[in-house]
Amino acid sequence: MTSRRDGLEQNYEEIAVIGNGAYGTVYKARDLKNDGQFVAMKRIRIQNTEEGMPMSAIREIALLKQLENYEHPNVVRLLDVRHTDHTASEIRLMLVFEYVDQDLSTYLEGCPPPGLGPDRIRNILVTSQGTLKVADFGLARVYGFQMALTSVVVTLWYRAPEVILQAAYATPVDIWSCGCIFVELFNRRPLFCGQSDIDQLSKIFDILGLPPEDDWPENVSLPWNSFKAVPPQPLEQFVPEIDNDAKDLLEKLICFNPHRRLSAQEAMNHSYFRDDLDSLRTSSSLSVSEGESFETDGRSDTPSKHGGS
Amino acid sequence: GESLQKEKEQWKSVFHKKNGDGHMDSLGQHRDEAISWILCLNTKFHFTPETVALAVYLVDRFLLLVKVPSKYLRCVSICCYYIAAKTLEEDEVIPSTGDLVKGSDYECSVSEILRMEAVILNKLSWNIKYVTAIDFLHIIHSLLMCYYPQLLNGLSNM
Repeated sequence: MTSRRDGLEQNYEEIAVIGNGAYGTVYKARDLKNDGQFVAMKRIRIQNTEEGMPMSAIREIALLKQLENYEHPNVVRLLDVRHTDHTASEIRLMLVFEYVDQDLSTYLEGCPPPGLGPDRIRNILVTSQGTLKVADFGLARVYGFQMALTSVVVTLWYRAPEVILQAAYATPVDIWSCGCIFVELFNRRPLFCGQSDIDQLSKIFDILGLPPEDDWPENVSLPWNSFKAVPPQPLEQFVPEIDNDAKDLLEKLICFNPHRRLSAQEAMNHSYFRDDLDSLRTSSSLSVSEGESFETDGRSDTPSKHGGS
Repeated sequence: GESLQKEKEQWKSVFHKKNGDGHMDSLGQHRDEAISWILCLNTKFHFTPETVALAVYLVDRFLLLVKVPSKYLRCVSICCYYIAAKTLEEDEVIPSTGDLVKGSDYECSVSEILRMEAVILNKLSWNIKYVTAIDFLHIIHSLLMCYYPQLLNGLSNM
């Protein structure tokens, strides 16, 4: 497949395969038009049907392009979209992203990737300057309807309970995931490692305790009483290095009831972030783009200090 | 519908100012034609005003970038409409390409539509989410309703 080239792709020279999935392949490549700078080249193969470009592809790429207008420092740049060729059986798209050399898991482990295991946070990247960048926005999910089961498990660990329960859900699910990743920054391993939907919920309740029946979403197939009533455990037992501010934030991020979970805005205003944001503001940057927000705290010197770069 | 019509007229003037040169006339004419086809398509498929506005915008952008021979104009309109629908409409109401072609009463093949779709996406560099006039209307409308709620009463008396 790599032997096949057409005119448009000669701008990019593939160096190595970074990732592989049902949706296609991601390469590390050189942009020959731009001094050979590194890029991440994602080749996507979509089955060509009578419907033309799939809706999911149109929406995702349109969204990425729209986000591009904001040039957010914590979003990975989309440099180019190429519709490389169109055969009767296949549409081939090539998305060219800015190249970032490590994902968060690698960063936390402080070692080069030992092959892509199932336990990776692959779409949060860390640049060599320590800037966090979000990549992907579910592109993999969109393109790979039959993706390997492992990736389903990956997201399962960060999945909010209302999603697992198949209740109504909205943006609070992202805050839940943030809470899970927040813990991981301290522990350098995931908090809730369920093997199945039910197991995931049990693991959550083992720590948070079974929520009161009033908080249980309505019209879900799993009844509240199918879980053992267990009391909540103190969080510091599972995140030994956490301090009081961080613990308070965490409790509000992984709150079972999505209505009572913090909003992103509220979380940003939490006292845990205040010092960091103030120091960033005085250094004439309003964004959290320094990526240091989790580690510049004098309160705890735990997370990320082992990261290599 | 009416507000859409109004917006369309306002838009055209912007469009003309931008292109106040020789080929302006044919461009304006082309555009009118393309837009009327989109409106015509929408009498069949009944998509939201947002979709229609986006389709119009895509046509505008594409015509600015590419000199389109008049025989392809209708194909461009259909494709922009299709792309706008795929971007904004609910999955289950999106017609298959075959149904779209049938509904458009236009003599062209499914593969022609699909090829054109690819050309348009590429030419617009996939910049296909725009803030359209409809979005502004929504904002202005909600502002009005916030500050002059008595207007609502007036409406219901009408």
